[in-house]
Amino acid sequence: MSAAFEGIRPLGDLLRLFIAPAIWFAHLGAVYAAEALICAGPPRSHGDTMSWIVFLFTAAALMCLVILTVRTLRPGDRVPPPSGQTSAWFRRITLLLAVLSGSGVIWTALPTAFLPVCSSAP
Amino acid sequence: MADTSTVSSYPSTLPRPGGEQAALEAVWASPRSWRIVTDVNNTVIGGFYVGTAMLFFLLAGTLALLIRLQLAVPSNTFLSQETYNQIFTMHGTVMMFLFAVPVVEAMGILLLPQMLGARDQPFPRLGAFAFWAYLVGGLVFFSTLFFDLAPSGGWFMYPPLTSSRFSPNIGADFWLLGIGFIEISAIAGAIEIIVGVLRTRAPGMTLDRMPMFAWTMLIFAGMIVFAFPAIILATILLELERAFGWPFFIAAKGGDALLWQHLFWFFGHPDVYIIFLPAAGMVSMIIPTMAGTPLVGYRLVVVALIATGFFSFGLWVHHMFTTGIPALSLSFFSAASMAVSLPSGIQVFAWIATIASGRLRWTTPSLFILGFLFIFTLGGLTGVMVAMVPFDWQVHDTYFVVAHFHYVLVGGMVFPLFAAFHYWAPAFSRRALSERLGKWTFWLMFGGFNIAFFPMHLTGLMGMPRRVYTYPAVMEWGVLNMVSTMGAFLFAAGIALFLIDLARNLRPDASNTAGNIWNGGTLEWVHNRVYGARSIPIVTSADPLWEQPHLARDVDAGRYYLPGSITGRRETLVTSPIEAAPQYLLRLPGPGWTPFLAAIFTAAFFMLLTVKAVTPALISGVLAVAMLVVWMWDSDPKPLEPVDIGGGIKLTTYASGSLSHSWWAMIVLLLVTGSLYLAYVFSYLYLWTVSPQFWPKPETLAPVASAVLSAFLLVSGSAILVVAGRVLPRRSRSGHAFELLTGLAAAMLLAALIAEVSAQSQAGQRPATDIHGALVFTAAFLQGQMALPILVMAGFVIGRSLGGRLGLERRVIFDNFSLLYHYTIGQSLLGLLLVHGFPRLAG
Repeated sequence: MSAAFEGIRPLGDLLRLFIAPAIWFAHLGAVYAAEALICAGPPRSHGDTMSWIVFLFTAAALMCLVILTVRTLRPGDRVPPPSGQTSAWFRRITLLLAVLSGSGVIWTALPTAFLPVCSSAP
Repeated sequence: MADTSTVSSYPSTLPRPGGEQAALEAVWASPRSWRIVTDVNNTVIGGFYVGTAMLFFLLAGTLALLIRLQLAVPSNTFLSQETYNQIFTMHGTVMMFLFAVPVVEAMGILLLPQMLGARDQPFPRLGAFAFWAYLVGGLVFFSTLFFDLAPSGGWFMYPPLTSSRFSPNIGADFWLLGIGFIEISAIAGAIEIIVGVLRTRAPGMTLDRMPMFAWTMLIFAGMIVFAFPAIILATILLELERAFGWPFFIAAKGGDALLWQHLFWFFGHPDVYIIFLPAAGMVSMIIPTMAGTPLVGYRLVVVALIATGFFSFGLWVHHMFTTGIPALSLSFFSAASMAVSLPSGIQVFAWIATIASGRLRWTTPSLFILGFLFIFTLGGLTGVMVAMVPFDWQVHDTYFVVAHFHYVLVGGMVFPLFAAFHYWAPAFSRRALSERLGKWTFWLMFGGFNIAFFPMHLTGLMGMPRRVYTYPAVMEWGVLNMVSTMGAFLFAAGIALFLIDLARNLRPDASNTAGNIWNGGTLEWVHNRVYGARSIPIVTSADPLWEQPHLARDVDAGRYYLPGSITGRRETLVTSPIEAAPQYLLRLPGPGWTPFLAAIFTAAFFMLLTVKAVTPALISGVLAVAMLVVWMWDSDPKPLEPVDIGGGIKLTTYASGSLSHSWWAMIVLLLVTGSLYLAYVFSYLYLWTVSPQFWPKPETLAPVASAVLSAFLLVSGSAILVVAGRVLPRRSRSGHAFELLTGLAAAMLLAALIAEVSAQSQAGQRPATDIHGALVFTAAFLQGQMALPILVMAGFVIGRSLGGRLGLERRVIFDNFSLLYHYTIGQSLLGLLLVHGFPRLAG
């Protein structure tokens, strides 16, 4: 048996690469589902509720991305364990994806500030 | 992992033993003549796969020419309305399902092992099965056109048009069952590709040194895993409605036709990127070679690929801007649609920067790449236009959209594919394709394409709707349509010239190729044979042939790993997913009939079911399962003593748990089934938002006690299987306890299913009455869909145990069975929570 068997946690390391865009997707799905559920319910002051929900979901998504970024940058928690070069490469990719996903989260949430909730297109 | 001393000791300068290469070639020899159908090697199967996909491209292209002939002049009677509907439906369906996705998958199966330094795919028989299933299913599906049985509801098959009321013939059933079956074949290929890319790379080929084509194929396959289950569920639901009246899309009974659109486009939009990303990977391989410089921004391109893969899942509603969805929802998806242009733009700029930083050679592949950049960029720009809701309202369902998606798909995929054919032909053929004919091919295709499709932007803006079989002269669309038709024939002339070029110059030969005529830097350009390279190298850069000048010579002289067959069987190295450190030696299966026969019987099962020949269909199904059992029986061979793969590295020949490549395949399979079930949960909740009045009052639901009983049976089954896993090592001392426990666990799962169906029936739920009943029984149907293979697998595990093929050291099949079993229990519990808990919560 070779030394290659030691210290391998491959699936988790690989998945870490995809956390940031997955957060973006979860945020999109959550705000879309929230609007669908709110609009399916009895008519109330949809606008305020929706604005708060989008705000909370967006804040949560951004917080998750910040935590991911901090954990990636923190010394001693290098991503992933193997050689230095690959580790640095993984770290940079993770950070770039976090930045891109953060921008995506804000960009997706932005329309809530401008458009009425539950109104159908003309 | 090979340590530094090992790496420095390679390449070995010791002479290779006599007869080593001859033995290797004997082990990998392909069967002759008609027995070639039993071969499973990726070079053979990949070649067949590419050829078949191109056959479907030609067939669908011929249909396109018929469409253009019909539309060339106003009030044309060349085709009848019904024939035209069948032809445009088949054109779209064949292009999307039988050409675009399969051809890139085929290119992956053909190229990836060589590019990654592997001898073959990790599951050669699965690859062969996927190919034969695709070939047989595709040919049967296409032949419906000749019997007036082809579907005519468009490639998207929207209900209610495709419901049994408005499409009573079996054309729609052929689409639903045929395409569902072919999607299963695509998923099988995707599992193969994911495990192949992650686990069979050459030592040292870390993820940051992986060829860009492999990156794109990895993301392509990952997207298939999450996108295709949505369309599979949609086809199941529509077929259940058509065959048994379960009203998923019938508004009067609480269904909603828009559910189909949600499920279809949750698959359909990522599908565009599923098609585009591998083509982008080909471009990222060809440009650096032609420019003679490494790809600029490798890291950024990887980021862009991953982001594109994810973003593409957030765009599906942009195909539904005119369906009355609230404006705010539309804006979320409009924003996401614009956002995806960012990662796509990163890739385009990386390619332009690479061209600018090197000296581009004006070869045929280069021309096709430049044509791709021009056409795809135009398609991307019109994509941003239709991503804006007000503009989309104006052009929705017009020829503007037809122009847009042909610019994206033909520009983004067909042109790179033709570049790839010209580029990689010398790696598989004794002769390269002709540069002179290639350039003519390019100009005919490029000119023809733009002449055909650019005018469609204008006809669309002038209001010409899609899918009309003719139009009156007074609309003044005639001239532009005539120009489009002329362009289409010009494009076809380019394809014809390409076929002539193939006939004149392509001479496939696995052992004697034209070689690295472009000076490519990646491993597919070492001297590959049917088993890949003579020895598996250590890779130290992203372009190893450029950075390691003598690598090709040393690899071919057998100076690296695995220069012969150690165990007398086909073999490849399994390496770690990130660092590509050698982990174990995988013994691969050789030629055999089972993948071919299993595919034939599976195809027969689906097709016979379509024509309502239930008994022959069931017989075919049983035979398909029998073939799979025979196939699996001699898999998972007995562990051997550790073997020396060279360089003093000794590897085991067996691994279990997360080290095993088959464990990874099972995880991917569970992701597929999980995605399918999530699509069901989405459907359930979505339909509740549409028709909550069809959900019964809590007091009329099936009693909670029945759910508790089912849950108890499920959890007990899970616990029993855990105990069986603990008994397994002591199997010889514990009699038949292992077999009994495994059988009992399977029986518990079945009992839970029966208990649930019985409770729902007693509570008065009926699947055809209303949408709630249909959804409740769909949950049971999906649970049954998992229970059936589990019962077969349980029998298989018991059989192997009784046959002495399972034990402490040889337990991979049981481990994978356990994974599937425990996952099914989790899924079933979620189903119980949804079906019993949600109505009580919402009521």
